Amino acid sequence: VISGRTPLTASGAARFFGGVIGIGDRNTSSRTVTDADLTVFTGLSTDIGRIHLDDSYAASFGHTGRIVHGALLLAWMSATAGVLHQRTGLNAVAYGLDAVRFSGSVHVGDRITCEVEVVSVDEPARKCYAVMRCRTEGGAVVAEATQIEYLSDGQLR
Amino acid sequence: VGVPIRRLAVGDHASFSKTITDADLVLFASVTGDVHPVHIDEEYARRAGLDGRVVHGALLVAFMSAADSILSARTSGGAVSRGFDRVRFIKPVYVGDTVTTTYEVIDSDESGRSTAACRCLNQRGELVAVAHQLTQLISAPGDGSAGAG
Repeated sequence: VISGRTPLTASGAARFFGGVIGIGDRNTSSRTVTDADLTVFTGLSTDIGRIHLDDSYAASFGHTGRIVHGALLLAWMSATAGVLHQRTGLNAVAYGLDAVRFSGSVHVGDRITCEVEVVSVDEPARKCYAVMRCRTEGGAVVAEATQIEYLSDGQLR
Repeated sequence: VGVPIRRLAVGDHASFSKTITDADLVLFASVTGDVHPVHIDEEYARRAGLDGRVVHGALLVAFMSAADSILSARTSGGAVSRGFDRVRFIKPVYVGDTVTTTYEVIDSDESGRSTAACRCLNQRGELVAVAHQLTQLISAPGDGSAGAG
């Protein structure tokens, strides 16, 4: 279960949209990856790459077992960002992602932590840029991306 | 499928289509924990000017990875995703839409790294998401140089 923490606010940093969001706003969530996560995601994505399905095959590449889809790590990071955006009270929808990089592997049973921090807000364009990172328990970054959210105090289109 | 290929070449491509059901959206929200109201609250979404609950963008990214897996299955080893550049969610996707995801290699080098242009289109042929996907082929088991990628 994703358990969000109250966003921390960097004192004195620039704030936008009437103060509801600002540079340095953060959210973090942790989870232990289960077989159901991987199995259900395989069905939803239709991504049946063998390394996601076959423990023995994955082991032949030096893994401890089937590896979690990178897109699932991305989805968990996006969920962490979504909680942060929801707390602003603004309407929000994903605009895009830049520089998504998968730099490590996550397996069933691993505990991961997703961290999201607002780094830039373009209020006239209604865009909020947040750096997202996913770490394993040892602290190694296994995935990172910049998330761009479209925020509005009115209609989303 | 034919003889396995050693690396992906410019022009190699794959595509598939999937109709997105209510179960897809609800299960995706469950497994990812992304329960933002734009995804689960029909009334919220309509008040925000949308036609209904919006399918998670990360599901479209997952379709792009699935298209990569379809193509990479034809190679002699395996493949790992290195990431994506410039992912853009252009139009909202709703339950009931049929998304066709296309994947085409636009760059490839001797080390097994390739870049593909990925597109998701809805049933009206409208572009709903785009990205560049970066893939690294990895050696087949027993090749002697199997890497984790």
